[in-house]
Amino acid sequence: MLLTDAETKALRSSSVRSAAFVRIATNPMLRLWSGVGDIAAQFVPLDPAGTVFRGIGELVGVPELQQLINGAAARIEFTLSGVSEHVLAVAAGEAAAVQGRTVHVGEAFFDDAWQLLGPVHLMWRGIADQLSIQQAPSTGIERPIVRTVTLSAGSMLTGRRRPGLSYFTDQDQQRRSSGDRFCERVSLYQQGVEKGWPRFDDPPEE
Amino acid sequence: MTQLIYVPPALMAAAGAKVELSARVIAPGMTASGVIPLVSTDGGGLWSMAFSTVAMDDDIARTWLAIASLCDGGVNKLIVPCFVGWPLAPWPIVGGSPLIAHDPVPHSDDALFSDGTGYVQRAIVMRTVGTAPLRATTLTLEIIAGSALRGGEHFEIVHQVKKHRIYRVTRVVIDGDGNSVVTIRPPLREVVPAGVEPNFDQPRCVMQPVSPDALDAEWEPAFLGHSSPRLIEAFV
Repeated sequence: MLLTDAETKALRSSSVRSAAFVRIATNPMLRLWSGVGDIAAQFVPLDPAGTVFRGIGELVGVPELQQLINGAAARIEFTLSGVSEHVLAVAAGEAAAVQGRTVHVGEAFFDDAWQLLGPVHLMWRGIADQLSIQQAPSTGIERPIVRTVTLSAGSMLTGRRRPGLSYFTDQDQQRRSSGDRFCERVSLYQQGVEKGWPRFDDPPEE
Repeated sequence: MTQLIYVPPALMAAAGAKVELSARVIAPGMTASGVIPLVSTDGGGLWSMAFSTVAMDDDIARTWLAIASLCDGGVNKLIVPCFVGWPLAPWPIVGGSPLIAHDPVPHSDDALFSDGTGYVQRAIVMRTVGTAPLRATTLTLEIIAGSALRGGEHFEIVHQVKKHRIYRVTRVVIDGDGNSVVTIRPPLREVVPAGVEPNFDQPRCVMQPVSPDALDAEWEPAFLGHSSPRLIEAFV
Protein backbone atom coordinates (compact mmCIF):
# COMPACT_ATOMS: atom_id res chain seq x y z
CA MET A 1 0.00 0.00 0.00
CA LEU A 2 1.58 3.25 -1.13
CA LEU A 3 0.51 6.34 0.77
CA THR A 4 0.53 9.79 -0.72
CA ASP A 5 2.63 12.50 0.89
CA ALA A 6 -0.54 14.11 2.25
CA GLU A 7 -1.67 10.84 3.82
CA THR A 8 1.74 10.27 5.39
CA LYS A 9 1.69 13.76 6.85
CA ALA A 10 -1.83 13.25 8.22
CA LEU A 11 -0.83 9.99 9.89
CA ARG A 12 2.07 11.71 11.62
CA SER A 13 -0.28 14.07 13.43
CA SER A 14 -1.90 13.22 16.76
CA SER A 15 -5.39 13.35 15.24
CA VAL A 16 -6.22 11.06 12.37
CA ARG A 17 -9.42 10.95 10.38
CA SER A 18 -9.96 7.63 8.67
CA ALA A 19 -12.72 5.28 7.68
CA ALA A 20 -13.10 1.64 6.76
CA PHE A 21 -14.59 0.65 3.41
CA VAL A 22 -16.06 -2.79 2.69
CA ARG A 23 -16.89 -4.15 -0.74
CA ILE A 24 -18.77 -7.42 -1.17
CA ALA A 25 -19.07 -8.81 -4.71
CA THR A 26 -22.77 -9.62 -4.61
CA ASN A 27 -25.11 -8.76 -7.47
CA PRO A 28 -25.60 -5.82 -7.25
CA MET A 29 -22.27 -4.93 -5.66
CA LEU A 30 -22.53 -3.97 -1.97
CA ARG A 31 -20.33 -1.04 -0.97
CA LEU A 32 -20.38 0.23 2.61
CA TRP A 33 -18.23 2.52 4.69
CA SER A 34 -18.03 3.29 8.38
CA GLY A 35 -18.96 6.97 8.14
CA VAL A 36 -22.26 8.84 7.88
CA GLY A 37 -24.04 9.39 4.57
CA ASP A 38 -22.83 8.60 1.08
CA ILE A 39 -19.30 9.17 -0.17
CA ALA A 40 -17.73 9.01 -3.63
CA ALA A 41 -14.35 7.31 -3.52
CA GLN A 42 -11.96 5.25 -5.61
CA PHE A 43 -11.14 1.80 -4.26
CA VAL A 44 -7.80 0.99 -5.79
CA PRO A 45 -7.55 -1.10 -7.94
CA LEU A 46 -11.15 -2.27 -7.99
CA ASP A 47 -13.47 0.67 -8.50
CA PRO A 48 -13.00 3.82 -10.53
CA ALA A 49 -13.08 7.25 -8.95
CA GLY A 50 -16.53 8.46 -8.02
CA THR A 51 -17.95 5.11 -6.95
CA VAL A 52 -20.50 5.73 -4.21
CA PHE A 53 -20.26 3.93 -0.86
CA ARG A 54 -23.20 3.96 1.52
CA GLY A 55 -22.84 4.84 5.16
CA ILE A 56 -24.77 5.49 8.32
CA GLY A 57 -24.91 2.62 10.68
CA GLU A 58 -25.16 -0.08 8.07
CA LEU A 59 -21.63 -1.15 8.86
CA VAL A 60 -21.25 -1.32 12.59
CA GLY A 61 -18.32 -3.59 13.21
CA VAL A 62 -15.21 -4.01 11.10
CA PRO A 63 -12.99 -6.30 13.12
CA GLU A 64 -9.24 -6.30 13.33
CA LEU A 65 -7.62 -7.67 10.24
CA GLN A 66 -4.76 -10.09 10.58
CA GLN A 67 -2.61 -11.69 7.98
CA LEU A 68 -1.24 -15.22 8.23
CA ILE A 69 0.94 -15.08 11.31
CA ASN A 70 2.65 -18.10 12.88
CA GLY A 71 0.59 -20.39 10.71
CA ALA A 72 -2.79 -19.08 11.94
CA ALA A 73 -5.04 -17.35 9.40
CA ALA A 74 -7.93 -15.74 11.27
CA ARG A 75 -11.56 -15.64 10.25
CA ILE A 76 -13.25 -12.27 10.67
CA GLU A 77 -16.85 -11.24 11.20
CA PHE A 78 -18.65 -8.13 10.01
CA THR A 79 -21.62 -7.09 12.11
CA LEU A 80 -24.73 -5.22 11.10
CA SER A 81 -26.88 -4.46 14.10
CA GLY A 82 -30.33 -2.96 14.50
CA VAL A 83 -31.55 -4.15 11.12
CA SER A 84 -35.22 -4.20 10.25
CA GLU A 85 -37.35 -7.28 9.93
CA HIS A 86 -37.27 -6.84 6.15
CA VAL A 87 -33.46 -6.87 6.08
CA LEU A 88 -33.51 -9.96 8.26
CA ALA A 89 -35.81 -11.74 5.82
CA VAL A 90 -33.67 -10.71 2.87
CA ALA A 91 -30.52 -11.87 4.66
CA ALA A 92 -32.11 -15.23 5.41
CA GLY A 93 -33.18 -15.69 1.82
CA GLU A 94 -30.01 -14.38 0.22
CA ALA A 95 -27.46 -16.15 2.43
CA ALA A 96 -26.60 -18.54 -0.39
CA ALA A 97 -26.02 -15.63 -2.76
CA VAL A 98 -23.41 -14.14 -0.42
CA GLN A 99 -21.46 -17.34 0.24
CA GLY A 100 -18.28 -17.54 -1.77
CA ARG A 101 -18.34 -13.88 -2.77
CA THR A 102 -15.13 -11.90 -2.62
CA VAL A 103 -14.87 -9.39 0.22
CA HIS A 104 -12.47 -6.48 0.08
CA VAL A 105 -11.72 -4.25 3.06
CA GLY A 106 -9.90 -0.97 2.65
CA GLU A 107 -9.04 2.17 4.53
CA ALA A 108 -8.96 5.80 3.47
CA PHE A 109 -7.72 8.94 5.19
CA PHE A 110 -9.20 12.42 5.35
CA ASP A 111 -7.89 15.92 5.95
CA ASP A 112 -9.23 18.22 8.66
CA ALA A 113 -12.07 19.26 6.31
CA TRP A 114 -13.14 15.63 5.90
CA GLN A 115 -11.98 15.54 2.29
CA LEU A 116 -10.30 12.38 1.04
CA LEU A 117 -6.52 12.64 0.86
CA GLY A 118 -6.22 9.73 -1.54
CA PRO A 119 -8.00 6.65 -2.77
CA VAL A 120 -9.21 3.81 -0.60
CA HIS A 121 -6.26 1.50 0.02
CA LEU A 122 -6.89 -2.23 -0.13
CA MET A 123 -6.02 -3.83 3.22
CA TRP A 124 -7.53 -7.29 3.12
CA ARG A 125 -9.15 -9.66 0.67
CA GLY A 126 -11.24 -12.65 1.66
CA ILE A 127 -14.14 -14.86 0.80
CA ALA A 128 -17.57 -14.45 2.40
CA ASP A 129 -18.74 -17.56 4.09
CA GLN A 130 -21.62 -17.77 6.47
CA LEU A 131 -24.31 -15.16 6.90
CA SER A 132 -25.87 -15.67 10.31
CA ILE A 133 -28.88 -13.95 11.79
CA GLN A 134 -29.60 -13.35 15.43
CA GLN A 135 -32.75 -11.99 16.95
CA ALA A 136 -32.45 -11.40 20.67
CA PRO A 137 -35.83 -11.87 22.33
CA SER A 138 -37.57 -8.89 23.83
CA THR A 139 -37.45 -8.86 27.62
CA GLY A 140 -40.01 -6.13 28.00
CA ILE A 141 -41.73 -3.19 26.40
CA GLU A 142 -38.77 -0.94 27.08
CA ARG A 143 -36.24 -3.41 25.65
CA PRO A 144 -37.22 -4.10 22.07
CA ILE A 145 -36.04 -6.93 19.88
CA VAL A 146 -32.54 -6.39 18.49
CA ARG A 147 -31.80 -8.03 15.15
CA THR A 148 -28.20 -8.60 14.10
CA VAL A 149 -26.76 -9.90 10.84
CA THR A 150 -23.20 -11.22 10.95
CA LEU A 151 -21.09 -12.09 7.92
CA SER A 152 -18.17 -14.44 8.51
CA ALA A 153 -15.33 -14.16 6.03
CA GLY A 154 -11.99 -15.90 5.72
CA SER A 155 -8.89 -15.29 3.69
CA MET A 156 -7.62 -17.72 1.09
CA LEU A 157 -5.38 -19.27 3.74
CA THR A 158 -8.15 -19.83 6.27
CA GLY A 159 -8.91 -23.53 6.60
CA ARG A 160 -6.14 -24.45 4.19
CA ARG A 161 -5.50 -27.68 6.10
CA ARG A 162 -9.11 -28.61 5.65
CA PRO A 163 -9.49 -28.85 1.91
CA GLY A 164 -12.95 -28.31 0.58
CA LEU A 165 -14.59 -31.48 -0.65
CA SER A 166 -14.92 -31.50 -4.40
CA TYR A 167 -16.05 -34.27 -6.73
CA PHE A 168 -16.08 -34.95 -10.42
CA THR A 169 -19.85 -34.76 -10.52
CA ASP A 170 -21.80 -32.68 -12.96
CA GLN A 171 -23.05 -30.38 -10.15
CA ASP A 172 -19.55 -29.61 -8.89
CA GLN A 173 -18.25 -29.14 -12.43
CA GLN A 174 -21.04 -26.69 -13.20
CA ARG A 175 -20.12 -24.74 -10.07
CA ARG A 176 -16.47 -24.67 -11.10
CA SER A 177 -17.06 -24.00 -14.77
CA SER A 178 -20.62 -23.20 -15.76
CA GLY A 179 -21.69 -24.85 -19.02
CA ASP A 180 -18.89 -27.42 -19.07
CA ARG A 181 -20.33 -30.86 -19.96
CA PHE A 182 -17.17 -32.84 -19.18
CA CYS A 183 -18.67 -34.61 -16.15
CA GLU A 184 -22.15 -34.92 -17.57
CA ARG A 185 -22.07 -38.71 -17.90
CA VAL A 186 -20.18 -39.47 -14.68
CA SER A 187 -23.41 -40.68 -13.08
CA LEU A 188 -23.48 -43.56 -15.59
CA TYR A 189 -20.27 -44.96 -14.10
CA GLN A 190 -21.56 -45.52 -10.61
CA GLN A 191 -21.26 -48.87 -8.89
CA GLY A 192 -24.32 -50.94 -9.50
CA VAL A 193 -25.19 -49.30 -12.80
CA GLU A 194 -25.29 -52.02 -15.41
CA LYS A 195 -23.81 -50.94 -18.65
CA GLY A 196 -24.81 -53.03 -21.54
CA TRP A 197 -22.06 -54.06 -24.00
CA PRO A 198 -22.65 -52.12 -27.16
CA ARG A 199 -24.02 -54.17 -30.01
CA PHE A 200 -22.71 -53.17 -33.36
CA ASP A 201 -24.57 -53.87 -36.54
CA ASP A 202 -22.91 -56.23 -38.98
CA PRO A 203 -20.88 -54.30 -41.54
CA PRO A 204 -22.44 -54.12 -44.97
CA GLU A 205 -21.28 -56.83 -47.29
CA GLU A 206 -18.91 -55.65 -49.92
CA MET B 1 -42.78 2.89 2.75
CA THR B 2 -41.31 5.26 5.34
CA GLN B 3 -43.39 8.35 5.99
CA LEU B 4 -41.99 11.76 6.84
CA ILE B 5 -43.97 13.55 9.55
CA TYR B 6 -43.57 17.31 9.91
CA VAL B 7 -43.41 18.38 13.57
CA PRO B 8 -44.96 21.81 14.17
CA PRO B 9 -42.56 24.28 15.83
CA ALA B 10 -45.04 24.82 18.68
CA LEU B 11 -44.45 21.21 19.79
CA MET B 12 -40.75 21.80 20.40
CA ALA B 13 -41.05 24.64 22.93
CA ALA B 14 -38.91 22.99 25.62
CA ALA B 15 -37.39 24.19 28.85
CA GLY B 16 -34.00 23.11 27.54
CA ALA B 17 -32.59 21.73 24.30
CA LYS B 18 -29.33 20.32 23.08
CA VAL B 19 -28.47 19.87 19.41
CA GLU B 20 -25.03 18.51 18.70
CA LEU B 21 -23.05 16.45 16.23
CA SER B 22 -22.31 12.98 17.60
CA ALA B 23 -18.79 11.88 16.88
CA ARG B 24 -17.12 8.47 16.99
CA VAL B 25 -13.56 8.94 18.12
CA ILE B 26 -11.19 6.17 19.15
CA ALA B 27 -8.25 6.70 21.47
CA PRO B 28 -5.79 3.87 20.85
CA GLY B 29 -3.89 4.57 24.05
CA MET B 30 -1.10 6.78 25.29
CA THR B 31 2.27 6.77 23.60
CA ALA B 32 5.50 6.57 25.55
CA SER B 33 5.84 10.33 25.30
CA GLY B 34 2.43 10.89 26.86
CA VAL B 35 0.58 11.79 23.66
CA ILE B 36 -2.90 10.35 23.19
CA PRO B 37 -3.60 10.15 19.47
CA LEU B 38 -7.22 10.28 18.43
CA VAL B 39 -8.73 8.54 15.43
CA SER B 40 -12.10 9.67 14.12
CA THR B 41 -13.97 7.24 11.90
CA ASP B 42 -17.46 8.77 11.64
CA GLY B 43 -16.97 10.78 8.47
CA GLY B 44 -18.23 14.01 10.08
CA GLY B 45 -20.82 12.80 12.58
CA LEU B 46 -24.59 12.93 12.67
CA TRP B 47 -27.03 15.14 14.55
CA SER B 48 -28.57 14.30 17.88
CA MET B 49 -31.27 16.34 19.62
CA ALA B 50 -32.37 16.18 23.24
CA PHE B 51 -35.20 18.31 24.62
CA SER B 52 -36.10 18.61 28.29
CA THR B 53 -39.62 19.14 29.52
CA VAL B 54 -41.77 20.04 26.56
CA ALA B 55 -44.79 21.48 28.33
CA MET B 56 -48.15 20.67 26.80
CA ASP B 57 -51.49 22.35 26.85
CA ASP B 58 -54.50 20.48 25.49
CA ASP B 59 -53.88 21.24 21.81
CA ILE B 60 -50.18 20.47 21.99
CA ALA B 61 -50.88 17.28 23.92
CA ARG B 62 -53.35 16.02 21.30
CA THR B 63 -50.90 16.77 18.48
CA TRP B 64 -48.01 15.22 20.41
CA LEU B 65 -49.83 11.97 21.07
CA ALA B 66 -50.95 11.73 17.45
CA ILE B 67 -47.45 12.32 16.08
CA ALA B 68 -45.82 9.95 18.56
CA SER B 69 -48.23 7.21 17.51
CA LEU B 70 -47.77 7.92 13.79
CA CYS B 71 -44.03 7.65 14.28
CA ASP B 72 -44.50 3.95 15.09
CA GLY B 73 -41.49 3.83 17.39
CA GLY B 74 -39.18 5.35 14.78
CA VAL B 75 -40.21 3.49 11.64
CA ASN B 76 -41.65 6.72 10.25
CA LYS B 77 -39.27 9.64 10.41
CA LEU B 78 -39.85 13.11 11.81
CA ILE B 79 -38.94 16.48 10.30
CA VAL B 80 -37.93 18.31 13.48
CA PRO B 81 -37.29 22.06 13.73
CA CYS B 82 -34.03 23.06 15.37
CA PHE B 83 -34.50 26.04 17.68
CA VAL B 84 -31.08 25.95 19.29
CA GLY B 85 -29.19 29.05 18.30
CA TRP B 86 -32.35 30.70 17.02
CA PRO B 87 -31.33 34.09 18.47
CA LEU B 88 -27.94 33.63 16.79
CA ALA B 89 -29.41 33.48 13.27
CA PRO B 90 -28.30 36.29 10.92
CA TRP B 91 -31.59 38.23 11.11
CA PRO B 92 -31.74 41.41 9.05
CA ILE B 93 -31.43 44.52 11.20
CA VAL B 94 -34.28 46.94 10.58
CA GLY B 95 -34.48 50.09 12.65
CA GLY B 96 -31.81 48.84 14.99
CA SER B 97 -33.67 45.64 15.82
CA PRO B 98 -33.53 42.16 14.30
CA LEU B 99 -36.42 41.45 11.94
CA ILE B 100 -37.48 37.90 12.68
CA ALA B 101 -40.65 37.78 10.59
CA HIS B 102 -42.46 39.79 7.96
CA ASP B 103 -46.08 40.76 8.43
CA PRO B 104 -48.37 38.41 6.48
CA VAL B 105 -49.09 39.78 3.02
CA PRO B 106 -52.79 39.83 2.01
CA HIS B 107 -54.24 39.52 -1.46
CA SER B 108 -54.46 42.58 -3.67
CA ASP B 109 -57.92 43.33 -2.25
CA ASP B 110 -56.51 43.14 1.32
CA ALA B 111 -58.30 39.84 1.92
CA LEU B 112 -56.57 37.04 3.77
CA PHE B 113 -57.01 33.29 3.40
CA SER B 114 -60.02 31.59 4.99
CA ASP B 115 -58.00 30.68 8.12
CA GLY B 116 -56.95 34.29 8.63
CA THR B 117 -53.38 33.86 7.43
CA GLY B 118 -51.67 35.61 4.56
CA TYR B 119 -48.63 35.05 2.39
CA VAL B 120 -45.45 34.57 4.38
CA GLN B 121 -41.80 34.74 3.47
CA ARG B 122 -38.56 34.17 5.26
CA ALA B 123 -36.76 37.01 6.93
CA ILE B 124 -33.30 35.69 6.03
CA VAL B 125 -32.69 35.09 2.33
CA MET B 126 -29.39 33.69 1.06
CA ARG B 127 -28.51 31.84 -2.11
CA THR B 128 -25.75 29.36 -2.99
CA VAL B 129 -23.17 30.44 -5.55
CA GLY B 130 -21.73 27.66 -7.65
CA THR B 131 -22.23 23.93 -7.21
CA ALA B 132 -20.98 22.20 -4.09
CA PRO B 133 -20.18 18.48 -4.51
CA LEU B 134 -21.19 15.62 -2.24
CA ARG B 135 -19.42 15.81 1.17
CA ALA B 136 -18.09 19.30 0.51
CA THR B 137 -17.37 21.28 3.67
CA THR B 138 -17.30 24.72 2.07
CA LEU B 139 -20.21 26.58 0.53
CA THR B 140 -20.39 30.04 -1.05
CA LEU B 141 -23.45 32.06 -0.06
CA GLU B 142 -24.76 35.33 -1.46
CA ILE B 143 -26.56 37.32 1.25
CA ILE B 144 -29.73 38.87 -0.15
CA ALA B 145 -31.48 39.69 3.14
CA GLY B 146 -29.71 39.15 6.45
CA SER B 147 -26.80 40.08 8.62
CA ALA B 148 -23.23 39.00 8.02
CA LEU B 149 -22.45 35.44 9.01
CA ARG B 150 -20.03 35.01 11.89
CA GLY B 151 -19.98 31.31 12.63
CA GLY B 152 -22.21 29.16 14.83
CA GLU B 153 -25.35 29.66 12.75
CA HIS B 154 -27.50 26.72 11.65
CA PHE B 155 -29.23 26.39 8.32
CA GLU B 156 -31.23 23.79 6.47
CA ILE B 157 -30.95 22.57 2.89
CA VAL B 158 -33.71 20.42 1.42
CA HIS B 159 -31.94 17.85 -0.72
CA GLN B 160 -33.58 15.89 -3.50
CA VAL B 161 -33.01 12.46 -1.92
CA LYS B 162 -31.81 13.08 1.64
CA LYS B 163 -34.55 15.69 2.19
CA HIS B 164 -34.12 18.12 5.15
CA ARG B 165 -30.57 18.34 6.56
CA ILE B 166 -29.07 20.81 9.01
CA TYR B 167 -25.59 22.24 8.73
CA ARG B 168 -23.63 24.46 11.10
CA VAL B 169 -21.39 27.31 10.00
CA THR B 170 -17.92 27.00 11.56
CA ARG B 171 -15.88 29.59 9.68
CA VAL B 172 -16.64 32.51 7.34
CA VAL B 173 -14.41 34.17 4.74
CA ILE B 174 -15.54 36.98 2.44
CA ASP B 175 -14.40 36.46 -1.14
CA GLY B 176 -13.62 39.09 -3.75
CA ASP B 177 -17.25 39.28 -4.90
CA GLY B 178 -18.50 40.02 -1.38
CA ASN B 179 -19.99 36.54 -0.97
CA SER B 180 -19.54 34.51 2.19
CA VAL B 181 -17.47 31.37 1.81
CA VAL B 182 -18.54 29.31 4.80
CA THR B 183 -17.00 26.16 6.24
CA ILE B 184 -19.70 23.80 7.48
CA ARG B 185 -20.17 20.68 9.53
CA PRO B 186 -21.19 17.99 8.81
CA PRO B 187 -20.13 17.58 5.17
CA LEU B 188 -22.92 17.99 2.64
CA ARG B 189 -25.18 14.95 2.47
CA GLU B 190 -25.82 15.54 -1.24
CA VAL B 191 -24.71 17.69 -4.16
CA VAL B 192 -26.01 21.27 -3.82
CA PRO B 193 -26.47 23.15 -7.10
CA ALA B 194 -26.24 26.90 -7.50
CA GLY B 195 -29.28 29.01 -6.66
CA VAL B 196 -30.45 26.98 -3.66
CA GLU B 197 -31.78 29.07 -0.76
CA PRO B 198 -30.75 27.64 2.62
CA ASN B 199 -33.32 28.07 5.39
CA PHE B 200 -31.79 30.03 8.31
CA ASP B 201 -35.17 31.06 9.82
CA GLN B 202 -36.34 27.65 10.93
CA PRO B 203 -33.89 24.88 10.03
CA ARG B 204 -35.27 21.35 10.21
CA CYS B 205 -33.77 17.90 9.97
CA VAL B 206 -34.97 14.35 9.36
CA MET B 207 -34.77 12.65 12.75
CA GLN B 208 -35.97 9.52 14.49
CA PRO B 209 -36.43 8.65 18.17
CA VAL B 210 -33.35 7.22 19.85
CA SER B 211 -35.50 4.43 21.24
CA PRO B 212 -39.17 3.51 20.83
CA ASP B 213 -40.00 5.19 24.17
CA ALA B 214 -38.08 8.42 23.43
CA LEU B 215 -41.31 10.30 22.63
CA ASP B 216 -43.28 9.07 25.63
CA ALA B 217 -45.26 11.72 27.50
CA GLU B 218 -45.85 11.73 31.24
CA TRP B 219 -49.02 12.96 32.85
CA GLU B 220 -49.20 14.63 36.22
CA PRO B 221 -52.31 15.15 38.31
CA ALA B 222 -54.56 17.87 36.88
CA PHE B 223 -53.69 16.36 33.50
CA LEU B 224 -50.56 18.36 32.84
CA GLY B 225 -48.40 16.57 30.33
CA HIS B 226 -44.74 16.88 29.48
CA SER B 227 -42.16 14.97 27.52
CA SER B 228 -38.39 14.94 27.08
CA PRO B 229 -37.76 13.58 23.58
CA ARG B 230 -34.38 12.35 22.40
CA LEU B 231 -33.80 12.13 18.67
CA ILE B 232 -31.04 11.18 16.27
CA GLU B 233 -30.55 11.98 12.59
CA ALA B 234 -32.19 9.47 10.31
CA PHE B 235 -31.61 8.41 6.73
CA VAL B 236 -34.43 6.95 4.69
